[in-house]
Order: sequence, then structure tokens, then C-alpha cells
Amino acid sequence: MMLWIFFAVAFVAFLGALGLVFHSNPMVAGLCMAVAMVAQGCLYMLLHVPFLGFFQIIIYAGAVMVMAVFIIMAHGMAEQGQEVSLTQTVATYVAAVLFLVQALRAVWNAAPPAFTEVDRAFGSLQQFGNLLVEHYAVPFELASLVLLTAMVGAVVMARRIWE
Amino acid sequence: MNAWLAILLPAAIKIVVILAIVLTGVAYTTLAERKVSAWMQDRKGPNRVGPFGLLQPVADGMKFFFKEDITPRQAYKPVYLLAPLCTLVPALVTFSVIPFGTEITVAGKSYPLWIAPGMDLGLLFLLSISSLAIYGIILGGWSSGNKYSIFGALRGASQVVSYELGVGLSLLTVVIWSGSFGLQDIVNAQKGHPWFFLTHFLGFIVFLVAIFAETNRLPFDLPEGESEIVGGYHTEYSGLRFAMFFMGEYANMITASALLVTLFFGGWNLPFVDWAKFGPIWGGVLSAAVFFTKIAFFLFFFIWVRWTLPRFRYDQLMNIGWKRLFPLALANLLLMTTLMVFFGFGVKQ
Repeated sequence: MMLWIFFAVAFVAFLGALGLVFHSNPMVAGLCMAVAMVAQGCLYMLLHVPFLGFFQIIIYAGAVMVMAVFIIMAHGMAEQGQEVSLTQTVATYVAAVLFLVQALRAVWNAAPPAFTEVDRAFGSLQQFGNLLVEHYAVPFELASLVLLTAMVGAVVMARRIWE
Repeated sequence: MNAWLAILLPAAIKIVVILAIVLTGVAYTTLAERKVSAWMQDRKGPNRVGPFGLLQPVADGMKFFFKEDITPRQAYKPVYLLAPLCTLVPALVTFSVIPFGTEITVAGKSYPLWIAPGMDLGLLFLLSISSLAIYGIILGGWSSGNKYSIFGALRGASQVVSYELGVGLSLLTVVIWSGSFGLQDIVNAQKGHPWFFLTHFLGFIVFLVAIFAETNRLPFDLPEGESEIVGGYHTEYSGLRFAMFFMGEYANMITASALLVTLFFGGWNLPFVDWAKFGPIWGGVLSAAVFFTKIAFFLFFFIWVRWTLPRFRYDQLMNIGWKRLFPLALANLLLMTTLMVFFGFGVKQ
């Protein structure tokens, strides 16, 4: 039963991803990406990490994609994407196929996974919090500093363009 | 099969009852809005349909049902038809994790009065669903192919993203204080203790202001500001599809009120009252009645504010969000965590 639900949700995520790549309307493509994000969050929940699934939905579908869609709307590109030349299209497909072949080869050659049972506390919010505060406090803060720097830089550059 | 039935049947009954209560609540909140506004402006308000105008929502429903459903030629049709649902559905789904009473014991089995009893991450679920509710406004505004609608959608998107920070940060102190993301744990943490609006006063104020922006109610109803952009994101909608947006707004108000009650006003608790004393059935029923009465008060509060305060200008809205509420929420978080870590406040569960 759970397996069928898993595959159904995974299929939705797959459709969303396809829509993101192939739909010519950037707004609809963004919407498809949001659908893929929500489906991915549901996959996390089915894999017994519910809080990660919720964060996936809150942050990616609820905030990041809303901002992306906002930018698409504000720039008025909503009607049609840019014209793409035939060479560009062909080159993109060739690159995609090459990447797919390489990825499949990597998966094929990988050692068969040795599944080990993890205890029920694995992936719980408590465990995540403890790890974050006790082991990964410094890297986490560093990452936030990098993001802050990027944000300040973006604001400065945007101001320069305005003035 | 029987095991499935034992889980699904009580859940189905609870879902039906809650949906009936919430949808009736939506219908009568629209009436209350008109009645209260009339009362505040020294008018009579709707009083023709049924006694005291009580059948007005029924008449309004019929009117919506028989109106022509117009789709503009320039609209992007699939999204245009989908958008009203994106507003209404999240507003209704959030009720699955809100505990609206203690429990009812029938034939030796106790049934907790919320739809998803095992949910220990209820608050996260609620936040994630309500963060999706904005898609209704964005998609409705964009797909209408009307510049006023697009403006409404743009305003809605930036407003909700800005105020979500305030909501999240003010909720965080409540979560840390009660030690759980589960809404029933938060309610229990207020049982026999002062309710959280007293102990988390700053957070409560931030949450209250931000929730007005999240539900697009005046003084923050810029996505639809009639005097500037016609009707905002729902300018082009008519008939039942408009009704869905309309119901979504009121359902969101009910959800917001339920959240306020659950997080800051003790949920179904009353001071010095132990619901277990009232017997296995009446305890549950009375606690649910108290919960819905508190919701009714906050619905009145929403209406009261709407007919008292004027609308903010857009830059004022953004300034309040980023320069007032956000630092206030951060200061509140710092203050409360200091109290909890160094002075031992909070509830241990």
C-alpha cells in the first residue's frame, strides 16, 4: 500500500520536473517546479522524515518558488520565453542525453546497496536539532554568513543599477 | 479490514462534522461581517431574508450558483480554472491538525477531538499548508491576463513572503516554551498555567499583526484593494469561482482564529475548569463548545479591526513587515530563549 503511494507521488514529482523542462510558458514551468517540490516533500514524509518534508514544502514550494514566480511576473516574461535557435536546442538535447547516459552508468556500476535497519529515532526532529547544535553549529553559521554576504552584495549591485 | 475501519470511520465522521461546522461558520461570518459593519456605521444591515436576515447566506449562495461563470478571452484557461481551488483547499485542510476539544469516550473507547491525533508535527504541517495558500492569489492574478489582477498577485506574493517571517519567528518561542510542535501539546502546556498571550505577549502581538497580513484582511488587504486596483487578483472572476475565493478568505480567517486560540488563548482550556469532571461525553462536547466560542470572538475581532482601521499604503506595509515586526520578533526570540535557558522558564514535557 505504502509502496504504491510512494510510486504515485514519485510519478507526480517526475511529471512536475518534465513540465519544468519542457513547458514553453515560464510561469507554468515555475508552477510545475512547485508541484515537483511538494511531491518531493511528500516523498520525504513517506520515508519517515516528516519534518524534512515539511521544511521542503515551506522553504522551496512556499518561499523560493513564490519568489521565482514573483520575478517571472514582475519582469513580464509570463507570455513566452525567449526564442531559441535550432543549434541551441540540438546542443541542449545532446548534452542532456550524454548526462543521462553518464548518470545511468554511475548508478549501474555502483555497488549494490547494503540496506541496514536504522532505529526509529533516526531522522527525528530531536536528533536533527541535537546534531545541528552539537556537531554542525560552526559549518551552519558559516553557511549563513556566506548567504548573508551574497545577499548584501546583491543589494549593493541592484542599487548601483538603479542609480 | 476491521482495523482500517476502526481508524477510518471515526476520522471520516470527524472530517464531516468539522467541514460542516467550518463551512457553516464561513457562511455566517459573511453575514456577521455585514451585520457588524452595519452596526458600527449605524445602519440596519441585511434584515429582509428570513428572521433578522439569518437566511441571507443561503440567498447569497443561490445567487453565486446561478450567476454566469465568465472566462476572459485573454485568460490562461487551465490555471484560471484551478486557482480558486488553490485558495479554498489549503484553508480547509489545515483544520485536520487543530485540536478542537478534549476527547469523547463511547463504549470504553476514547476518541480525541481532532482529525489527525498522532500528528506530533502539527504546527509544521499547518505552516507548510498555509505557505501554499498564496498560490491561489498568484495563479488567479496572473492567469486572468489583466494588469490589475497581476498587480494584486504581485502584492500578495511579496506581502505573504514578508510576513511569513514574523509568523514563523513568533511561533518559535511558543514551540520552544512548550517543547513540542504538536498543537495538542501546546494546548496542554497552557492547562493550569497562564495562557501564552500573557507569557508571550510580544510574540502574540507580532503574530496577531502578521496573521492579518497573511489572511489579506484590512488593514493589509492590498492584494485586492478596491480603491486602487479594482478587485486585485479576483477582478475577472465571477459566479461560483469568485465564491470560492470569497469562501477561502473567510475559511482562512477561521483557521487564523483557531491558531490564535490554540497557540495563545489556551485552546479548549478554561481557567479552573477540568473537563474530565463533566463525564465522558459532555466534557468533550463542552470543551469543543468553548473552543468554537473563542474562535467566534476572534472572528468578531477580525471584523472589528476591518471596519475600524484604514488600509496601509504599500510602502508602509513593507516597512512594518521588515523594519518593525521582524526585529521585534527577533528581539522576542532572544528575550524568551534567555528567560528559558538562564531562568528556567518554560514547560518540561
